[in-house]
Amino acid sequence: MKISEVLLRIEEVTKRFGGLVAVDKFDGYMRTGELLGLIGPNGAGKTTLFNVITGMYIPDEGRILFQNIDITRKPPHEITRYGIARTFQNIRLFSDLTVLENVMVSQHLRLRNWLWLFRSILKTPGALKMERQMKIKGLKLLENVGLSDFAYEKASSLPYGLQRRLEIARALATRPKLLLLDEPAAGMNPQETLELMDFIRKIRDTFELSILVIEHDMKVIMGICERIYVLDYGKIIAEGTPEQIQKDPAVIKAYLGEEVVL
Amino acid sequence: MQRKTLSTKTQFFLTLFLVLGIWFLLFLAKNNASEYVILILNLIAINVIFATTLTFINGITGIFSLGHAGFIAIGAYVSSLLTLPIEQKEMSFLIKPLIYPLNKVEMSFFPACIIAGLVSALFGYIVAAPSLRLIGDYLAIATLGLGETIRIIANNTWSITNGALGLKAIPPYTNLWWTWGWAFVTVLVIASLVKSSYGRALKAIREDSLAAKAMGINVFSHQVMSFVLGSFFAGIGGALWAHLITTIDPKSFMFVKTFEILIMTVLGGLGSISGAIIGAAIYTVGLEFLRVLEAPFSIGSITFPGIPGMRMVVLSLLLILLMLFWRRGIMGRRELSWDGLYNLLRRIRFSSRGDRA
Repeated sequence: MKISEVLLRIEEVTKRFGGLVAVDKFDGYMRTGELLGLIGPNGAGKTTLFNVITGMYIPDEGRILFQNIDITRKPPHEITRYGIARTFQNIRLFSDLTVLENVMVSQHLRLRNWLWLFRSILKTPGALKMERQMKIKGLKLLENVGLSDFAYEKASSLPYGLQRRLEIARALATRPKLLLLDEPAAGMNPQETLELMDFIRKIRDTFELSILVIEHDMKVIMGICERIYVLDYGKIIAEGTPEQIQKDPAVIKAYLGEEVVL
Repeated sequence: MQRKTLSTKTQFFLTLFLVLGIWFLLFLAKNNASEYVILILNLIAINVIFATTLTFINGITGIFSLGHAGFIAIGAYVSSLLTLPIEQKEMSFLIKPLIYPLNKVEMSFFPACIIAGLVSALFGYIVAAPSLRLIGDYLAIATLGLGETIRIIANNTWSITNGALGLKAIPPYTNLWWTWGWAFVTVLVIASLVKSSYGRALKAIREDSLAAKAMGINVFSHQVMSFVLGSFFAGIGGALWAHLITTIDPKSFMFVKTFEILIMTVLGGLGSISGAIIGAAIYTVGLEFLRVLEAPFSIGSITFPGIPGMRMVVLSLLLILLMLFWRRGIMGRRELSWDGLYNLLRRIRFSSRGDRA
């Protein structure tokens, strides 16, 4: 895929919690089609940045532009409609719904106004057609991510690795342009991690996505990302390709600490 | 054995036959059954309305609301005030006369029901915004207080509700057709909504509202919608109830009323519409059967006097047993469906033949 214009621009975004500055004047950008990594030690502010981008938190300062539209103070559901979808660090599936229903929920945003409410109650041909389309699209998506065998199982009954995969599929069902993955490999064994890396690459190409990944597993980050931001105490301490990051003294210091000479 | 599904057409006709069957039974009951049985049949239908709406708000959307009695009260008062004959209003309002224009209004039952539902829904809309900022237990306490507030307002606005004296001689318009008709409409609308994309969205909000937001669902407006729709039908149920018992006063709408409905929904399975219907029927009928416990009875030559309230003690024990052994109610979150029934019958047939398909 051609990597071209800027998709997401984050301008001097700051988020404070009382005296703690979780994200400190973050300034960054993301190109269309890019696979961007975001790393940093625990508490560096990575997830906070995700929450700011997706509208879960309102930043104290700064602006966020998505496709040149200011989305800074928009509520989360509207931001999703603009084309930003996310997964969560700790899996947050709709556990009592079936796998298929989980991906169908994400298509609910296609019902744009409240007329659909009356159509749905009256079961008009239009509403039934929409319902069929949602089901077909949902099944197709599940087939695409290899979950079709579980379509009618409860989401909570899936094994851990597949739950992670379903969470990604559910985000994909909102038809995003930008996908934010918050520690997708957390808790996976090496085999599952390898599969996940292939999977992320695959969905980027099939769905023409740009993907921003937070991950602690360096193998994943270095393996799939084209560019990486390193955060520490809410500030960017390094930016560059995986090779550049691995050699960067500031990154090594943040992860391993400074050598102390006595 | 593989599950099979019936076609939409078959399901539609089966439902039609069921409705016609119930209609026929009601027709028989209306002409043959005693007044007492008819009263219970009416109460079942009204309780079905209450339980279905509460299940919709609490079980499907996951808003733990305990203010249902308040909405029922609004519906009951509004429709009673609209249908009471003008002379009756002049006679009843002894302490303070009824305000204009209510003292000049007398309308028929159906529009009064609709207006009762709309006022109740409007009230639901107004209170939804502040109370939905709260979650979980806090929301429960706030809505409980809300229901009580409505009751206390009814107790003190003498020129509208006739205060503690209540309203008497409300025209007994409610009959089996009205109650079962409205119960049918309520169940149809809510079940149809629950089966649609909106139902999935509401369940998603119940499961994880943060994730629902991230999936593009406007959580707040969906919760308000659920609250408003629930209170609309609760208001209509209240109207039907008022015209059935013909006398209402603020004490009829204590929070105990809410808990009664909550028991029905939990009994049937919180989160299941068919469960709510079953729960409402079992609770209403069961309470009548337990009346024998309050009657005087004799063993040999010793006669025991009846103890008023005894059935409530037994009922509580039964509920505790239910909670111990049937933790999620009768239906849990499952629904009765023709498909389910069909597959059950198939399984029975297969196993009796000894086939293992």
